[in-house]
Amino acid sequence: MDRLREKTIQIGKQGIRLERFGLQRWMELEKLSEAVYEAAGVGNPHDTAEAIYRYLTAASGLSHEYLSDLSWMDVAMLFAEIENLNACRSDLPILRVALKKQEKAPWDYPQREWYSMANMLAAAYGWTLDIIAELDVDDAFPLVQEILTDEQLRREWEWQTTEISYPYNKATKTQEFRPLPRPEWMIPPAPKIKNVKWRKEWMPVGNVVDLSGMLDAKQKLN
Amino acid sequence: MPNKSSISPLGMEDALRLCGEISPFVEESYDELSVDFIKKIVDKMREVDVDVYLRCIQIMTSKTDEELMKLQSLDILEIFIDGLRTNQILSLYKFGRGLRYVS
Repeated sequence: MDRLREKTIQIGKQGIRLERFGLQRWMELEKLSEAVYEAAGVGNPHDTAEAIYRYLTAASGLSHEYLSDLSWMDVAMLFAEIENLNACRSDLPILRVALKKQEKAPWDYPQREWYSMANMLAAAYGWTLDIIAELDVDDAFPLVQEILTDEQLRREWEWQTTEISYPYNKATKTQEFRPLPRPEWMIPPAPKIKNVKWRKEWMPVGNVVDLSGMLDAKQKLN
Repeated sequence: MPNKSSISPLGMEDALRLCGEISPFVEESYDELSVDFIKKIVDKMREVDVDVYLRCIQIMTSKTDEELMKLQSLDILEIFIDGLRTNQILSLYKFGRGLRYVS
């Protein structure tokens, strides 16, 4: 895949070199980007501006003093350029699933997401941390999806060889196979409901009388 | 009196503050190339909340209430228009929306 690895943009008379980061720094930057959108969502101008400066300092090495002297247009341009340069271009099912906010595990620690991903890639391919840290995200995420797919399919195979995958159904008096649930990103999207054309003359006419008895039951309850 | 030269583009924090104040009066359909949209903003402010007008000018000029009260209303309007143009208010609004800072 042909990717733009770096770019120089002009702020006033100064040329600022921006780069596309490898997986480890990309994940750090993503955390800072989340902090920007979180602060903006709260609507606090001071916290939002500070979060943007922290993001830009991490991505470009420019100091807080320098950034706070720039006009908002220059800061916004830098922010947009860095986000664009570091955008993940892989359209993967695993990235399309909205992540639910999970409670932090007791064994959680800063940078756990990076180490968790590095652990997965190292175990699968035998790469060292240095190599994984420099992987492009457009390569890293498809590989992680492949690892998770392999793992799920292996678990499904193991599951169907066990007895608990065939629970006894009292109604049919047989054992029926119950598949291992798949993660959300592996489930095909539900088909769209087709629009059915309904003719005007098919609509009911006259008074509508409830014959179901539900209305009487409700009145009795009240 | 703050003249044209005294209005310079805002830093990020003040720009976001301005964006928060002015966003209820801005629509994305406004045309940045014409200044007609500024009249629409002022008209809406007049209907809804007049104080926003002064608060926006204070953000753009760092002038106090007293300093602004000494000015003619036409001069204040000129500062307001110049401030919005200098700060590319429609781009600022779009930036604020992109960040989900304003809705």
